[in-house]
Amino acid sequence: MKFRHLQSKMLSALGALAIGLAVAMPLANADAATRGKITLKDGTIVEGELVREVDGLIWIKVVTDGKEETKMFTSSDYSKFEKLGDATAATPAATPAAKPESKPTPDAAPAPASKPTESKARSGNRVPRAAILTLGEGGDKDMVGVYVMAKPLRDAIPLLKKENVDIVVFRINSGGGALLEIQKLSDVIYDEYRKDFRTVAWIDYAISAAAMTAHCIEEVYMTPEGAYGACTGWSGQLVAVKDRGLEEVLYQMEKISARGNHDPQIMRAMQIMEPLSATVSDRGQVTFYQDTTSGNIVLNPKGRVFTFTSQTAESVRFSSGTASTLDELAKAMNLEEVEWVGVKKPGYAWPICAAEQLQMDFRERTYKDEQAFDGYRITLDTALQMAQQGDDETKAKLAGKAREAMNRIISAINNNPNMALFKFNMYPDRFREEWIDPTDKRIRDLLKKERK
Amino acid sequence: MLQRIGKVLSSLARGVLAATVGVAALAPATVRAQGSETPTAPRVYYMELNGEFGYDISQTPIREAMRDARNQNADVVIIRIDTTPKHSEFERLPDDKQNFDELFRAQDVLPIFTDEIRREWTKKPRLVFWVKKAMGGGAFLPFVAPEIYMTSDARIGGIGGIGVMYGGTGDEVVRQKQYSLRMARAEGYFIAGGYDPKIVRAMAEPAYVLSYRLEGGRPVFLERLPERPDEFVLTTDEPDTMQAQVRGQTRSVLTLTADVARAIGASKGTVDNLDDLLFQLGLSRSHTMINGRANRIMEGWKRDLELASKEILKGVEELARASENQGGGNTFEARTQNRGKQIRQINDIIARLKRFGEAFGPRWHNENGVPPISQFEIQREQLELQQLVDKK
Repeated sequence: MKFRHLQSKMLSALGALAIGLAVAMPLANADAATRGKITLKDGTIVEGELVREVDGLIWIKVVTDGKEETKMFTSSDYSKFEKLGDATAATPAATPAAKPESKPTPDAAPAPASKPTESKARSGNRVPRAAILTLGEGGDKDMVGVYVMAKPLRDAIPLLKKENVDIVVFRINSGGGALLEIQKLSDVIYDEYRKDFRTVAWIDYAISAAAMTAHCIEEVYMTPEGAYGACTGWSGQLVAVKDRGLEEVLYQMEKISARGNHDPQIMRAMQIMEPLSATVSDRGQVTFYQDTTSGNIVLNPKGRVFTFTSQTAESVRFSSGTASTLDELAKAMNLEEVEWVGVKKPGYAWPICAAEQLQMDFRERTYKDEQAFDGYRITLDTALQMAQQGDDETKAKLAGKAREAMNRIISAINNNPNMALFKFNMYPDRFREEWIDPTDKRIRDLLKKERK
Repeated sequence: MLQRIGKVLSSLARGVLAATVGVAALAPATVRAQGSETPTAPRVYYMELNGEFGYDISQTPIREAMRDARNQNADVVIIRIDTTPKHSEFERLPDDKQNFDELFRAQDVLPIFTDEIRREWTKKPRLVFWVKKAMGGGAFLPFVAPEIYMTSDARIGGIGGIGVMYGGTGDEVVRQKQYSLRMARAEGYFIAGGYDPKIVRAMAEPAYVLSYRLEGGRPVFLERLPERPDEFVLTTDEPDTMQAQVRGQTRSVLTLTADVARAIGASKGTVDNLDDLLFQLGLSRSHTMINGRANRIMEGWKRDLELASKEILKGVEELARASENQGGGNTFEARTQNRGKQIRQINDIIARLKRFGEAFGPRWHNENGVPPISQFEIQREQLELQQLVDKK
């Protein structure tokens, strides 16, 4: 299914030229050894290894405090971009003459030399291909750690590559979930997705663990009704995570904030009732303060936990725009043209690509298993219990029932390993040892007696 | 002949009489017949949402009615809402299912007017909410529409208490988290509808102080008490008297009346009949009223729901009686028959619970003593196991 977002005729000539250049950048010429230099609009110069260029987006590897970090810049961030050692130096507002008349096919792109350049080879000068991947779908299928998991996201990467996807948009609709999954999700998105795709978060509802998952993504858009935040960890009867546990998750989110290039004070206000204010300078630079007096915009008063709305997020440039449709999103992302990958299906606002279908199937399977899980367990326990008093024939019948129930449980946990944790309070990697093997033995013992 | 008369009246209305309100009340009834013969006249679809929000007013019939409107090529959809809760809107729901949390029930309905219109309509209709009473979760619905009109006795609200809904349970930081995520979501819906999110904050959060003044005819909201004669208070940080609560004249949280809503720009006008509304919408001269199925859909839903509810309660009682008769008798055949009967009853109950599941929320289950579906499934599984090992 192909959609093309055409730039509005109302766009200023300058803006149109900027996009023209972005498409025309000789992506294939940038190899891993090329260095890039970016002059940001506030005058800051960033220099380092040029990792990727896609449609005006530049990824540069820099070293901060001895640690290598790849930073992404959109064309609205910088006023000038140069490839060092390369004769061509350009600004985002260069002439449109460089825009190719026809778009080369993907086959025309040079063979990839390394993983980062694979994505360049995929994008080339053709219309960028974008895919929507949903993290949660609201309702009963939204919990992080159960319906939003690293495993199906990782499994989706080969499918996205097979479909020559350049841009992955994570559409998030989740009220939160388990802290334990956040790091895994963050690692998959940051270490694996970001390496190969322009990675974007499109937030409808990202609360708690869902916001913490999205926080490693720098490029954020929201729906008009979007909400993002409220990240306080808790359990049971609204009891907060405290002491060492709290310190750990605060530190974890400080590191994840750095991944997303977000001021750590934002996440802190979302976690522990720290106040937050901000000032946006004339040049668009945003400074956050952990109080209510230093910034011009009070985002979070004292004694509250912070959640962004689409308005507040855009006002302090946490989000790069607000979009309710694919067309609006493409426009906010400065995509002159885009091909949304997948099949249009009734009831869905975006085409469903193979990777997204995988997420949907995963959630559906998990949902069915979750609904039936207590039934599986009760069948198993009742069958084993009833078999204690039965004769050999009864035992054989009940052993069959018990095994059927056990196999369903195993299958559910194979699909979603975290069910071991939530349903049995066991770590998934110990589930075989702690539950499958003993249960299997109990069933086999029933049959042994029958043989006697 | 009728067509000619219609045209004459229409011309008169256009020429001289349109400016007066008195004619406006007359005009729609007259020109509606004429409008139906004008191919370019806007096609108006009208539906009424009456009853208990989340039960009578639910996503399945609303979706069906909206699809009917789409199939009939409606240009304008007018939705009149009059929520009549079984319980007082000031009565708190049990446990943590407090009134504000009907927001999450409203979330099932709201996308019908936003995402689904974007997705399923080739041309977005003009969406108008006409409010008689929108209390509890129903209070969130009108704000998806860019145009709200209210009857002179209308009220929108009954969603207060967000800052106190968990009482003293747990830690303050977690309670604040719960308030924050809810408030942001509610504000988001107001933002998406084009309304100032401060309005819903004032409607929901006790002790949130909000006043306003008009500048150039537009409201400017102030998060403090009035300080000048041209500033007006909406909410204060003082608790309400019981009398004020009963009358819906709270000041700790905002209940929108027609006048207040009009003053702060939430309502575009106050109208007490459809003809006046059409006039205010600028449709009195020429429009076509669609003979839609909305009212039949809504009434059908209520009837089927009521029937299903009765059948479920009857089924649960019968099931309890059959279960008391452990095993069903002394013979294998009698026991088998009894189990088969119970399984059929369980299947019937499950089917009805699933079909109308959206209306049978935790409150309904709690009040009617009906266990969740999973309990019935477990009971069925146990009966099947008993049957498996039973012998003649």
